[in-house]
Amino acid sequence: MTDLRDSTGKKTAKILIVEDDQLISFHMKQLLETAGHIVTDIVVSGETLFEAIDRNPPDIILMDIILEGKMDGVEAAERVNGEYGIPVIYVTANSDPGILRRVENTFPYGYISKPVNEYELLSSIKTALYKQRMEKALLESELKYRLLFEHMFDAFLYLQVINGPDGSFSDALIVEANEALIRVLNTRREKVIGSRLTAVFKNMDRVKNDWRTLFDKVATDEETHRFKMYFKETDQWFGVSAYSMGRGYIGVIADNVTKTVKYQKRLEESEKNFKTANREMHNLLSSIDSILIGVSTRDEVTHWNAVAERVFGITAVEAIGGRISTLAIGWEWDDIFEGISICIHKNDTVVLRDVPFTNLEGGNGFLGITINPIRDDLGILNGFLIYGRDITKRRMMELQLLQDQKLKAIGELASGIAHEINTPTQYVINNLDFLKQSFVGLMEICLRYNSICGKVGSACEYKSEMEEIDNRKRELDFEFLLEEIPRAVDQSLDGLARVSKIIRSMKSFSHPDNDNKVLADINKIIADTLTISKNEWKYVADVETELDEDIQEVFCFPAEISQVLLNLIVNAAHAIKEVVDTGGIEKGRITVSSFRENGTVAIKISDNGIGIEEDVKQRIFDPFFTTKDVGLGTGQGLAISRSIVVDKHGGSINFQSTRGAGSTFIIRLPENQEPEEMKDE
Amino acid sequence: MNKAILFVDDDINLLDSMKRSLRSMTKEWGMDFVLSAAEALNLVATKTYNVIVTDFKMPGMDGLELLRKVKEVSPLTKRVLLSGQSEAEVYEKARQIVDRYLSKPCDIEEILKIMRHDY
Repeated sequence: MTDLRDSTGKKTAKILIVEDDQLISFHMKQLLETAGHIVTDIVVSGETLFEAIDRNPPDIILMDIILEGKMDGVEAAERVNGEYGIPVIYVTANSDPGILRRVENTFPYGYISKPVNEYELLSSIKTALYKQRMEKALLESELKYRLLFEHMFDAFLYLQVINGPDGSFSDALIVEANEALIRVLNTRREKVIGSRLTAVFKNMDRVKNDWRTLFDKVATDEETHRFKMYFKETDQWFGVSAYSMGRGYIGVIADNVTKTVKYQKRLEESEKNFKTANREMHNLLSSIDSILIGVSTRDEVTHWNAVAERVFGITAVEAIGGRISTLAIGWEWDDIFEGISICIHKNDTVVLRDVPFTNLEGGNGFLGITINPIRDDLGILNGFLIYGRDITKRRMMELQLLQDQKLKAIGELASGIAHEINTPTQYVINNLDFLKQSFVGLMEICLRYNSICGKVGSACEYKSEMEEIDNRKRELDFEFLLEEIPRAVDQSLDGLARVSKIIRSMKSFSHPDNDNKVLADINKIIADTLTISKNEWKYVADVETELDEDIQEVFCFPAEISQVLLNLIVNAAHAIKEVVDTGGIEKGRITVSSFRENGTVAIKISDNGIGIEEDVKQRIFDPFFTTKDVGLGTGQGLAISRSIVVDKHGGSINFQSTRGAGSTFIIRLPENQEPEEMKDE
Repeated sequence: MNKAILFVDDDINLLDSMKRSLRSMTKEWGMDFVLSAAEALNLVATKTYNVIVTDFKMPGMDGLELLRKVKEVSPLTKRVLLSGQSEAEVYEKARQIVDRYLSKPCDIEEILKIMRHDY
């Protein structure tokens, strides 16, 4: 902007005079220069005007209308306006209405009539300078805002409201649009400016049905509204703000929020996926048929599934958030703590195979436990996942299988040994038998010789030989031999008979046919078992048997029934031993009887031992329950016995016991039980 | 004519002990003792036995096979298996072929009973 003040503060302007009348132009020059203005030039035609402007650009041009040359003043002013934007003040005597109309169209800064009056001239100059200053300021300001308008990232639209027949908003004319909007639409400015809004944005109605209502409110109530719009053409989302720009005009700023919206959509989607995954994970965890406990490094329970609830009798609500070590979980804590410490130390999964635990009914059992460290992406320990299964049943089955295998091995060994022993036993028996019979004859002969020797006396000629025989007889203790040799042979035969019996009894424990039940004589099984177990009871008890000879053979696994009886007999002997050891009695009594009862074959084993304590009666058939000292009992005998009788034979096992008086166990096996393969046929 | 019995066992001690303990029967019975099934078959081919008592497990042909062949050659001979084995399996197979199944060790009286009463 040109500074309109000189150093003394006087308003001064550079003025160019366009006037073909030299008298008038000289007069004006004098007036102007007297007032302190500078006249840059005086030209007489439109054609020479522009050279003068270029030579020394003026602030104001004083323009006569009638000039020399073809171009008149109005025409020259139009060109000045268009090319230089310098304020023009007309100085003319012309009052032709046609020309005046043309003059008005050139937006003159002033109009002075001839003859020129000093006051009119100077005040016109002053007004024009002020007007020019204001216009320049306005122009600069507008330029500034236009630059902002054109360069801002947000798309901007300046709309003129077009009302429908009912007087409400129907459409809008796009008066102005900035570069950002043109870019968004990927079009040319001239296709936008002057067009209707709905013609440019063809999908407006599909985007938002009530946008007309919103724009109507903006236009009439001067409210500001914000909403989101999607432009299908460019797959972009905009946050639209519509402002009132004075009555009938609306300014629209559209902020490209495509990235934000898409990001948000992705976020929502991933949140949805996460929720789904979380739900699936939750379902998965719930459906796991194992104990699952999450524990943080601060010892807090973070997860506690339904199986954990069921097995330990602690609800998730009670457990989660609490310290795990404060929970009343019936497992062997030492094992768990050791497992966790190894897990931390080795930074790896720890498997604890048999963790003893007490179930809710107070029974003993085993858990198979895996402790997994949980780490975040950086490998920092977040906690542990304790995964556990109640493996009591499996352990029972394993032990029973082991027991079966042991029995089978013993059976095979017994069978092998039996074969090796049987043949020599046979010929030792044969030979002893031979010796026994032969000795009878031999002894008879000896006695006869003896009697003859007595009769011959010492008179005969064989006196010395006779004396020698007598001496030898005394040395050998002849009478003793006669008496003891037959007894020695008899006792040897007796011993061999017992060996044979034991070997035969051992065969009952072998599994010649493991898969199928066989018809077996229960009384024989009882007798065999008593023979085998004699060493267990003979020092503490006498055994009486009351066996019903009429009971039928039963389909059963003889070796396993033997095992059950052996368990019960050994237990009876131990119960008696407790009484004997305390000096209660010198020797106890075990009575084994068999009888038929309601379609079953029953075996009753009674003892007068210590009896079972009241408080353990409910648990004696529990697996791993034992009252015996460590190393003496595994706590599986009765559990396995029960399983053999009940599960394998469909029978029952019951007991009565009085502490201090003794116990009676009764096994009942179905009489007419048929082998399974027969049932199938 | 004397009755005849044939004992078959691969253990000489057993055969000798049998020979000794059955000495009292030698007046009425002719007794032969052989160590293998093959020798036994040779004898059966030349002579008629009232009874044959054989071990089960022997090298070469076993006792059951021997008795099966004896049954073909001399069906009237009483076939006794005196087995040291106790497997029910052997017993099952033997049932079709043998007249008596005895387990070692058996009382010599069992054999005497067969000799006295069954013939």
